[in-house]
Amino acid sequence: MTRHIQDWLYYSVYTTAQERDLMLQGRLKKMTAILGLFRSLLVVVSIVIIALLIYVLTIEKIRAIATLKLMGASNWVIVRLILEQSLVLTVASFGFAYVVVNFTSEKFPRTLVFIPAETLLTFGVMFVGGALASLLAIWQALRTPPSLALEG
Amino acid sequence: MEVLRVEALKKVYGSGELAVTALQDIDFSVRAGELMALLGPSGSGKSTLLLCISLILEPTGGLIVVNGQEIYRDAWTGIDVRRFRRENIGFVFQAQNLIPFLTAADNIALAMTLNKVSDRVARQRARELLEYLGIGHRADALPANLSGGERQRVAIGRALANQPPLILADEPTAALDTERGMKVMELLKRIAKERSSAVIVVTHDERMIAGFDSVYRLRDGRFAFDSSDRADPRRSAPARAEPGLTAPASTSADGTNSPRSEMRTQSPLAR
Repeated sequence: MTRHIQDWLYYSVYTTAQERDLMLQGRLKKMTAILGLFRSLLVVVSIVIIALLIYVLTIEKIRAIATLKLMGASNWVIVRLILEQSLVLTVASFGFAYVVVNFTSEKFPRTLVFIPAETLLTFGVMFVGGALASLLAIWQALRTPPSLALEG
Repeated sequence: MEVLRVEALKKVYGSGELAVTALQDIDFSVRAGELMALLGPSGSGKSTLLLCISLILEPTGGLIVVNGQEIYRDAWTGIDVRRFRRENIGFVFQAQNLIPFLTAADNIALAMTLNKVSDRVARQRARELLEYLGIGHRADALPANLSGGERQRVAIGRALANQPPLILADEPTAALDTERGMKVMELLKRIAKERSSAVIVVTHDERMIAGFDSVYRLRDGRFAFDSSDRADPRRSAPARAEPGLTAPASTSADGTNSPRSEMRTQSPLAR
């Protein structure tokens, strides 16, 4: 039967296993790659946004930071405060996105499967990214002179 | 007890032909419970002197001794300056510099937690300090909801938080009206006497210095004798050196004192 059908120019015959492989290796793999690319871009954009946000928030508080330094706060205290702020923002953003995805995924035109390991990996990448996002702000805070607090 | 001693302090910015001498031959000392005013026009070196005695700016030469510890002798003596500042110096700023999202009590407690005091003890002591400063009922208010005078009281409370022997106040009344400014100054006087802290107030407002134990005037980086002191005794008494502390000033024709001498004027209200 297979041979008979394959004699036709435009027809092929696949077994169920072959069909599955064809879908996974071909069309679905490409879609997974596209989704992965989207996810990577979103992670990078999120980290850049968080970095800019943390930087702006730090600049807003630069006088308070100078005051803390003048009062004798160690560099580690300043770094910890900025890092905490960045990580809280990152975790809150991830949590918000997670809730939104769980509520809206069923309305998505295609079936989406969330693998816990991948979600965890994304969280890990975001967490590290959140820490990296605070580097610019930390650099700015550490180079702030305590004498800034005394300026009128 | 001597809380701060400064000898032959010098600060030069830049080098070579571009060198600018901001401070020269600065000698003075402040004892526990003493209230000292530092006056001078802008550019006279007040800020530089404040930064040097705050241990933020490294002088070019001289000696700084705080609370019996030699901090600077022609170079930092190797002490952990930040920690030393945290434990020994309280600051009051012109703009208060309170953390806007912390309550009055938390702003004070913060200074203590930086000094490794537990949160519970810090909060309790912060409330006690606010009571002492007369604004105990405002403990849970955010700085934005406090008046200028109340904010400055909180800032004073923060300066007192770690019971430092030395309090430096930079133009603490500049952002306040005269009445509130006077009240803040009265408070600083009370603190100096009751808590035996040495309080140095940098100000340009001579109305505020009545009752100070000593008044130093800076001009062009040196302590200078102001002829108006003689002209109006109500503003401040004729210059005199305090026995046992400093050598009598030898004032030059241009109004500046000679090297290693200082001019100390004493307010009549203090006597």
